[in-house]
Amino acid sequence: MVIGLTGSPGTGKSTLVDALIARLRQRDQRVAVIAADPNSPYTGGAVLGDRIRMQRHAADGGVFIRSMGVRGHLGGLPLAARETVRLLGAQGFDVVLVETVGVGQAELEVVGVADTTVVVLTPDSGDGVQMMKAGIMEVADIFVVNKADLASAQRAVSDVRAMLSVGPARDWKPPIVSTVAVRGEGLDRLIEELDGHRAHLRESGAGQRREQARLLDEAADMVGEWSRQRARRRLGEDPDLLGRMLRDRSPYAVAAEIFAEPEDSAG
Amino acid sequence: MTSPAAAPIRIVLAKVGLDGHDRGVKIVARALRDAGYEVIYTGLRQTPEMVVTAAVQEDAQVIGLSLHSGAHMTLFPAVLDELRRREVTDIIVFGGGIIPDDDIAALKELGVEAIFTPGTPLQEIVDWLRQRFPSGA
Repeated sequence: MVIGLTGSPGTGKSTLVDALIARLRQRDQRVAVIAADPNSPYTGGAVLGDRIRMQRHAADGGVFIRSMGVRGHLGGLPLAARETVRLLGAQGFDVVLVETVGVGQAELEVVGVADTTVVVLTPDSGDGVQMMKAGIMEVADIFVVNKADLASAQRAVSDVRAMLSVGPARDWKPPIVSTVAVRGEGLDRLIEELDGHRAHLRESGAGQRREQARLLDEAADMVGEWSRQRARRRLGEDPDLLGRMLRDRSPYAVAAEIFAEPEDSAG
Repeated sequence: MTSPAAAPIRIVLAKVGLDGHDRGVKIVARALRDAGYEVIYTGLRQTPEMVVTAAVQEDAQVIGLSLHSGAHMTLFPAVLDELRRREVTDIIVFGGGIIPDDDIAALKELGVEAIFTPGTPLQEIVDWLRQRFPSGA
């Protein structure tokens, strides 16, 4: 079972992960966590600080926490996230929690990794117009309004509900859960909804469809990544090709040429 | 923009024991970030067991301990002992804090590879890491 948690910076994702670990451990489930943070685009360095919120579980042998820098990869997770999830699953962890970097609106890679995607909002996450925008608000299987002890929490819940009420009918209506993660409030309900979504995935066949789509995406992503590497290599080793592109300002033509070459001739 | 050829060196920074002074360690974290290292900061009041667990789970090459409480002769060796107990041989330890010269010598004898006292230029820590990991970030 892979649960993804995503949301803007500072919404409380790490604290929510910490609270979830505590609940899952009460059920004797072994829990692994992947927590992503950004690297500097200039130096490649990073301060990975998600673990600090989860350190009370550091001495628990049933919990494994791995911080990951995204190392220049866009989309909210490192390129290695999917492989890491697979490895942790093979290690026998019952639940893998995947926490993205603090995201904006369109870093949606978590959907390609998680069975259940939780979008974490706070009462000040924005007004009804933000809620209408495409992207992250569409991919939630469960919404969490964290820091629900703040004023205007109820309005945030209403805004999400209003947004959900006008969309096309889907076979799963994302529930909205209010939490105060730092005090563990609302976590019983969140666990219930996570279990509910898991049952839905199994019973409706949606889980299997998602798994197939994920594998397809992953294969396509790998082809994309390898093509990018191959193109850079070709342009690096063929001054004629590079010169032609620079002279004609024709990246499309050169790209088509590289793409059409058989792999072995590209070296 | 630099793209590191190899994966960045990973460093777990921790405050061990009952000591709430974390300004120094946070500044070090930032400096190491700017030098291209991946820093995992684990926060205050860590036990030696927690620090070693974090370093193992995070696949870190380096543990950096910060301590201003005077308990360095107990807690730094405790981290080394815990590493030995778990047969971890590929993680090195350095430390920082208010530590007298005599103790620095004793700690280095025990296997703490470097100690940086207050007022040390940040570049000195970076230079030491660069020398220790010539091929890394």
